[in-house]
Parts: sequence; structure tokens; C-alpha cells
Amino acid sequence: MTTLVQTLVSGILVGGLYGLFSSGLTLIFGITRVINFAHGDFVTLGMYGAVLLFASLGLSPLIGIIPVAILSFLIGAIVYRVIVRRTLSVKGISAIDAQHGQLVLTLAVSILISNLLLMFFGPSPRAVQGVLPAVYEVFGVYIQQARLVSFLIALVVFLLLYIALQRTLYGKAIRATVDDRDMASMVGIDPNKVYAVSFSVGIMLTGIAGCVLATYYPVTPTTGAGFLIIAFVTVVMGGLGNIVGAFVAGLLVGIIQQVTAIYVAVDLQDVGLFLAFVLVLVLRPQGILSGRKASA
Amino acid sequence: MTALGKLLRSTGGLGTVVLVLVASLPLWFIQSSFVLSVATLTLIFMAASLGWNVISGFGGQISFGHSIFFGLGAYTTALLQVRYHLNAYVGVVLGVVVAVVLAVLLGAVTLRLRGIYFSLATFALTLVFAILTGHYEGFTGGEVGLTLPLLGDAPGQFSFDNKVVFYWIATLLAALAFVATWLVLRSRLGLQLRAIQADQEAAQASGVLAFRVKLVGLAISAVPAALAGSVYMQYVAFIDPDSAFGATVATQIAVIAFVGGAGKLWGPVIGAVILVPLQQLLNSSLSAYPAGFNLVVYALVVLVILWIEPRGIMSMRIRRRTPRPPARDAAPPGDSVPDPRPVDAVSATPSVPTSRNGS
Repeated sequence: MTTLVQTLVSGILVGGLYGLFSSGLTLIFGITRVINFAHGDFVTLGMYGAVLLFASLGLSPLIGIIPVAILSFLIGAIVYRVIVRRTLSVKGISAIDAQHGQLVLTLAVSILISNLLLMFFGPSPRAVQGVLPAVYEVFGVYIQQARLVSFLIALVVFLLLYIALQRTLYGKAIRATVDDRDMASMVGIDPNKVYAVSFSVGIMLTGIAGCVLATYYPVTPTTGAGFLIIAFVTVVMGGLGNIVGAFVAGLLVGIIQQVTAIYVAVDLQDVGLFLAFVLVLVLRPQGILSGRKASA
Repeated sequence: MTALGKLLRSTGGLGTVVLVLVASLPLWFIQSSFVLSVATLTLIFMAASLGWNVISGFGGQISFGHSIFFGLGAYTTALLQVRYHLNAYVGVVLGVVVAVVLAVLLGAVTLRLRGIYFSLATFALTLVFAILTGHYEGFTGGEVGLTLPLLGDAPGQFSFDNKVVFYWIATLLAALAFVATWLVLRSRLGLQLRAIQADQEAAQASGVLAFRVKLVGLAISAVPAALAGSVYMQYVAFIDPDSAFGATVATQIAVIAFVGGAGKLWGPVIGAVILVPLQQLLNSSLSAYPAGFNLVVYALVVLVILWIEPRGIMSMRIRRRTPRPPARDAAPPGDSVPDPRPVDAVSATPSVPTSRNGS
């Protein structure tokens, strides 16, 4: 019983961060329809950002969130402006071809990021050590301080995003574009601006999640590939473009992963997840947490 | 038009010229064993990518899981040889059989998905294969990988001391894969696949059994990938889960075709000739460059090419040609003996709705 509770707690705590970077992906994927194959590598970039700030300036990842967030936002804006917009501006290109172009271009960005990191940091795992080292024991369940704090940060950042989407003008423009992109542009919302902002904010959330994740998760240049699939699993489970769905699904994904790791085998934790993903895709492509019908 | 120009304008003529050129390379151009190995690997991945082109290029179902078939070909051959001491050629044939059976089984589940969902499902499945192969190490050799026994010069066991033989086998493989995709493209199946690529609803409304056509397309496209895997295994004599099913192989097969031009007959050929040597030449294990440098250059080249033309190199050529009067294209295709159709039949067949040229 304690093992089960322990498994669930670990799953939920790591799931909060999955939820955060997945809500970043759902913002991008749900609104701009860009399949960002480099998403996992932006998590890795955030993690290396935290490691670098800690190693060179002694800055705790909790403060490092601010510079990492700003940098991720800028990188997101550049990637959108230079790469994604380009595929849409080629003369005579069809929507499908543009999407395939974005797919391969972001894939190339992913290869570029992970191998630049490999060149500069080498293949061995890096970690931020000694930050938030305490371990709490509640009724026989162990909770690491780093995991708890990063979960709480993920929750707070997510709530801020949610409030921003509900209350600010940009947020309303984004939600209007999700609901009906043509109507939104008819009432004067510039879709290009909405796309650029959601792409950059999506990458920013991902960078923040990576920065916080670095407090307890060692990072290597190839960590991103796993996060990419996790993010897509989560986004699909939560329903495309559904921010709250993505966060809740993140918790679920964390739990599935931990349960497989504990009750089946540690090295098979992703198999359980990927198979669950394919099942969800086949059985409920509109997402298990969404009431909406799937749209192709 | 000169006789030579005419020859080079037809797919068969150009294909023959290219084949003769490629097959004769070791006689006058390839001098070192390193260049020979780069050329052999180029041809092997070209074959896999040509297979990919059938379902993903013509059919529009972008697969990031063709490494499943590549890996199954490699592992079936290797396991039968190492564990059951079967003849290598039997292993190659069985590798294809296993890959086709798996293609039908996996396709039955994943081909119900559209667009990006199919891509993601195939990508997740190839990673599942990689993890499972690493996990069941008692049978597969695990993360350490499998090494073929050294047999010396034994042509009856697919083992040759002279590496040029592997080069010619790879040439034959790529040529067969090219002819196979060419035949598919010209067939009823190819027409149906392209109709699905353009608009699945419209294709179904016109009587195309979309699911069945896609399933057949996937099964056909698994064959060159599996053969490429088996030949790769016999040539390199070593395989591990990552170089069989890993994300790098999974994406490389697709990226080769995308860079050359997905859905174009010559796309994978051009893509492979550019990308595979690039990656091999800068490989860190053979040079002074730091680890990762080769893939940084690789990624930059892919970025630049697709930034200039997101539809791949073949589309650059076609776009320059478009302003010419369409006199040649107006003739009914395929009625004169030296086939007058240009290399890219997709753009030249006016009756097929295609989104490739933005129509």
C-alpha cells in the first residue's frame, strides 16, 4: 500500500512538470498547428541553462527561472520568425506541404540543439547538486524537497498562464483563435501575431519546466527525445489545444510512467507510456479528457 | 533535342545511365576503402528511403517508423545466423517476411490515424522496439548488440573478403528499390496512393478503398527497408538497438527523402547522395572533429535546403521549369515507346489531383 501511494506521489510530482512543458506544446500545436519536433530539446536547453547558471554564477535554479524564461521566449520567437514563417511564405505551397516542411525543419533544429550541446558539454550527465536536499516523510511516504518545490512552481506557473489566458487581451485573442481562427481574424485579431506569441510563450513554459526539472533530474544532450514523446502523449491525451487537459494529462502520464517503472521494470517505463499513447490515439484520438470531437 | 538529351529525359534512360555510372564507380573513381564504405552505406540508406517514399511520399502517410522494418530485417538475419546457424540468405528472405507481417499488423492499427497522429504513433512504436530489444538481452544481445561471426570469404554465407561485392549488392538493392517504386508510381496502386495523399475523402468518394490501399502501400514499402536492414547487417556485421530502431535511424530515412523531395521518384536518390556521405565523412570516430560535429553540419545542411525549398530539392528544379509552355505535358502519357514523360510523373499527369504543386 505504501509502495502504491509512494508511486502515485512520485508520478504526480514529476507529472506536474510534464504538464507544464506539455501545456507549452499544446499552445504551439493547438494554435499554430506546427508539429514542433524540437520540443523535447527545448526542455533540455532549459535544463542546461539551469546547470550553466548554477555552475558559473552559483545561481539557484529557482532564481535561474527568470533569465531562462526570457532566453527561451526569445529563442522561441526567433525559431518562429526564421523557420516556421518561412514555410508559410513559399509561393504556391499547400498546407500539407508546409506542415511537412515545418516537421522536418523542427526535426533539424532538434538534431542541431542536441548535437551542439554534445559538442560543448560532452555526453556525460550533468546535474545541479545540493539544491533543496531535504527529504520529508509523511506516513511512510518519502517526498524529496526538490520534487515538491518544482511541482509547486510548475503549478504556480501553470495557474499564471491560465489566468493570463482568461483575463488578458492576448489571452483572449489566443483563445478566440483556438475556437475559430477565421472568425477571430474577422474581428481584427492578427493571426500572425497570435501564432508568434503562442509559439514563444510555449517555448518559454518549456524552458521554465526544464530549468526546474534540473534540480533533481540529471541532463544529457539526448534527454530531449524522451521528453518529446512524453509531451506529445500528454497533449494528445489532454485534447489538442486544451491547456487544462494538457496539465491534468501530464499528471496522468507521470503516474503511468512511475507505475510501469515500479510494477513492471524500470527500463520499460516508457514502453508502458508509448503503448498507452498508441491506444489513446487509436481509441480516442480527440483526447481522453476532451468532450470535443476530433478534427483532422 | 539530341539523342542523349532524349535519353536523359526518360526515367528508364536516365535510370540506366545512372545505374551504369554508379556500378562502375569502383573501377575508376572509388580508390580507398573508406570512400567505398561511404558509398555502400549511401546506397543502403537510399534503398530504405525509396521504400519509405511509397507510403509516405506517394501516399502522404509520413512514417517515422521505417526503422522498425530496417531493424527487423537486420535483427532477423542476425539472430537466425547467430542463434540458429541458418544460412544468411535464408535470413535475408525471412527478414523481409517478418517485416511485411509486422507492417500489416502495425498498419492495421496505425493506418486508421491521419496526418501527424500516424507519424507520432509510428515514432513511438519504433522507440518501443528499441527499448524492448534492449530489455530482452538474453535473446537479442541487449544494449551491447549482436556481432556476426567472422566467416572470411564465404559467398554461400553472404560473406565476402572483397568489399566491392557488397557495394555491387547495395547498388543492385537500390536499383531494384528504384524500379519497384517506379512501377508502383505508374500503377493503379500508385494512382490511388497519390489520390489519398491529395485528399482522402475525395479519394474514398471516388471508390478508392483507402485503408486497404494504405495497408498494401505500407507492406510494399517495408520490403526495401527490411532488405536494406539485412544487407546493412551483413555488411557492417554488427547491430545494436539504437542503430536498428533508434530515433536517429527512424528520422534519417524520412529526412533523406524530404531533403531530396518526398513523393518524387528521384527524391530519395538525391537526398541520400547528399546526406549520407555528409554524415559519414565528418564522423568523429574517423576524424579530429569533436563528437556531435557531424550531426551539427548535417542539421544545418537540412535546415538550409528546406528553408530554401520546404518541398525538397526536386521541387526547386521543377519550379524553374514551370514557365515553359506545357506543350509536352499535354500529350497523353505513355503512348509513345520511349516514354516522353519527365522524371517526375506526379507533376506531369494532369488528371490526378495533387497538392504537391499547389493545385
